[in-house]
Amino acid sequence: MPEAVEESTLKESVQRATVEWVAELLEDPEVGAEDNFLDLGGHSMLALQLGNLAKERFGQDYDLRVLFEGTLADAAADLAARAA
Amino acid sequence: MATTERTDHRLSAQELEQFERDGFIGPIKIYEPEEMEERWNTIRRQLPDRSLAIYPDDALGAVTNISNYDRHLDVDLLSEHIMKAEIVDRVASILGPDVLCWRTEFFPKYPGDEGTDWHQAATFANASKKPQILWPSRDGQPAFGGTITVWTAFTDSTRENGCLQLMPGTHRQMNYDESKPMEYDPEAINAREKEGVKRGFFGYDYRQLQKDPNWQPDESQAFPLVMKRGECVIFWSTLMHASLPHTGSKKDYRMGFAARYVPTQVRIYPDTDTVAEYGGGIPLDNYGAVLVSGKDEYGHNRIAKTSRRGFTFEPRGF
Repeated sequence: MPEAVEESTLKESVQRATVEWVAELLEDPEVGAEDNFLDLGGHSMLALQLGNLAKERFGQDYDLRVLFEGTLADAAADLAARAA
Repeated sequence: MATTERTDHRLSAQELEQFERDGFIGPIKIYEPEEMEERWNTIRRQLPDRSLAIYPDDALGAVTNISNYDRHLDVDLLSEHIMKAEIVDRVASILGPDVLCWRTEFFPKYPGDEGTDWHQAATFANASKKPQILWPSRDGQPAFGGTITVWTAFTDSTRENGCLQLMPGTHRQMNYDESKPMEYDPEAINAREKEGVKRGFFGYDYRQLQKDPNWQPDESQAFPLVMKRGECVIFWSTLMHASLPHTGSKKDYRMGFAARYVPTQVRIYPDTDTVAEYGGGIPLDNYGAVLVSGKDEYGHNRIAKTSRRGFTFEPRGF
């Protein structure tokens, strides 16, 4: 598979997993990729749990600055770029 | 006759009398709930940026992030908070006009977290084993001191999410000897019940410091201090205090922010280069106390006149 396709697949896969995990952690099925983690009601302890899930699956943690300031899509894209 | 509007927030004679008797006063509203929410939402987004924090970010204990001590030295809204007239005037009316803020700390409590043991702190040697504040000596002995702690609820503080508990009138007599050994055991965190309540002291067991090992705090004297976000309580650190465990829902969390104040004649971190406690350690190279009110005529302590982000600390005057 060409490298660009692989990266785009990874990015999509991290984003999908991120949205699923956040929905589960916050018990909120309405979570979307454009939502902000803190605005959804997330806090540091849930961020730690989310990071552990990501480390287990993708070998990388979220950058807290991006997770707290940006959208879930931003946080996922940042993580995917480091995991690639 | 024109009435004179009160231009400061000093405690009235009656409030001072109450404070002397009980060792605390509050809750006192510092911010409207909406303003507090907005401020905390900004602060929490800024905390992960540690580029100007005065302690390195590897000072992590098992649950206590002591590298997040003193973030008032690099986060503007926290710099502003410790200087707030509504807080400083009240503290100065207790301690006298010349006051330093020597420490700030976050006290988060998340779902499933244990409560905090009953404790009192006079020198804060409890965990670090070195006095962190030293009052001038009186009759050859260091004077009985402690610090004034202003604990502000950055989120609502409820029984379910682990609010503070206080025992009024217990601030004059220490039941604990902070120089006694106390063992750090991160395995004990969230793992022990005391008198039927899940609690501990951030990896320590505060009962190990009891002057009388057989003594037990009289919990019938205690009450839970429920606070709305934006409210604070002002208390002597020598007052018996604790907190309840978090038994609330997943999204609910308690965030307390403690600012600690002493008069300028107190020596802060005497003969100390690094504070080691709660499984972490912080070097004091970039440390400075903040003069929040009056003048520092003693010169005992290194003073930070500005934050690392350039915020100028203008002491209140009366």
